[in-house]
Amino acid sequence: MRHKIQVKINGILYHKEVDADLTLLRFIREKIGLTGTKCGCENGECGACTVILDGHAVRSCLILAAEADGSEILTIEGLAAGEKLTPLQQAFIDEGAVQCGFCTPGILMGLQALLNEVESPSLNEVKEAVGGHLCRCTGYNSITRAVKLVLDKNKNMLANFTLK
Amino acid sequence: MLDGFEYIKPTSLTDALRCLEEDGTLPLAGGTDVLVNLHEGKLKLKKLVDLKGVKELKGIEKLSDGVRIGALTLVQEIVRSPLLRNYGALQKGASRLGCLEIRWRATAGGNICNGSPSADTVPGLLLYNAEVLLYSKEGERRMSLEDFLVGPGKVNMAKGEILTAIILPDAQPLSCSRYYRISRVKGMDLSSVNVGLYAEHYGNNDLTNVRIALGAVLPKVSRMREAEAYINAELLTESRLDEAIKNMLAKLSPREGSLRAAPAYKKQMAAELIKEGLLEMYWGDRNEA
Repeated sequence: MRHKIQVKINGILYHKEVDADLTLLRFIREKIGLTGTKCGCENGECGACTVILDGHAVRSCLILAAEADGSEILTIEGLAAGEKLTPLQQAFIDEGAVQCGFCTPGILMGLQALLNEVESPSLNEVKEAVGGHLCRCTGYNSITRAVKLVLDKNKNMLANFTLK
Repeated sequence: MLDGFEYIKPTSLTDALRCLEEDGTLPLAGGTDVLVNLHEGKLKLKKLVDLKGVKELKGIEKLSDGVRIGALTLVQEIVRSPLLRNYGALQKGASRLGCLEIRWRATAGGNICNGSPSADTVPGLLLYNAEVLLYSKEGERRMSLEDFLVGPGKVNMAKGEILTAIILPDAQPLSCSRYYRISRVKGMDLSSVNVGLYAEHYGNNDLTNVRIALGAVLPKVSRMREAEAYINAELLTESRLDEAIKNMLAKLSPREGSLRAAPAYKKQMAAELIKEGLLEMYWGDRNEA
């Protein structure tokens, strides 16, 4: 049996018919054509398929497309506004937090969900958010540095803001 | 690749029960275990009955004599709930389950019904004598979580029944609890062994009503009733504690061939964690309730 679902992905509303056994990951990649969300282990272990679903980072390989009916999803393609990167994306470049890049979309989505929720997360909170993501290149230090760079810039912005 | 099953999302408990009467159906909560098992081909079924449309299964609520945790409450909601602040081992255990992305999807009821011997939320629940509510067309039944757990992947739930909620009695004044876990890696991993400890601490370097729960050691997460009785029979001293742990270990035989730790290692770590935890609680000054 096919299911009619309605999902908003990166601000665009899609009406689609899906098979019950189609995962959200494959739906996003194969039916919508957004291949920035990576298919790693397809078993919930690696975090490469992380997307933000109704405000929380989740693993799209462990969710059926049918389950996502009525939800709002943000994928890696929805972060940048055209050419303009988010502060976190820019910081990843500045700190060299991208090497092979396969884990990067998932990690960016996990960290973006954290930054959306907590203005100034602690190092432990950052580690918690990255903890479920396998990255075999960076050793994670450049990734936590990138988050720190974003937070430092935010702080400077606040410090330089004066009422006239 | 998943293959060949149907999906239905009822919006009431009655409809959900009707759907589950059919052969080959399986209830779906967060799906973080079900989907893994489906991906691995360990699960053959005709239809998934998604319970997330049933509102009365969600949320944490204060009762006159305890707290009700709806079966579909997310694990991360347990971690954060102010209503569960007095149940330290439960919140700590929940905070160690999977990773953040899993905790925003996995549910309280799912972690129980999956029947894993290493389930992270279960030691905390057992320490506080949690009960489960089961609903079927015959009505509701209530039983202790301890009796509900049967063995690896097995719980005391009949076809056509749904776990609707977990009931925690009020936490006793001056009670505190701990949850410790050993795993192979710090990131996302299952427990090699986990230990939940509970005691009522009256501030005179005394612990009363000590309770111990072990995970990933026996076929199900279990309370160590004999050790508890021994410890609680007299004023606690270090030598009595050692004696209780020694007797407990003599009766434990974790299965060989575990992927995560050898039986001897599990036993030794359980012993160390129980002792370290109880001594910390004995000298500590932090009460949760």
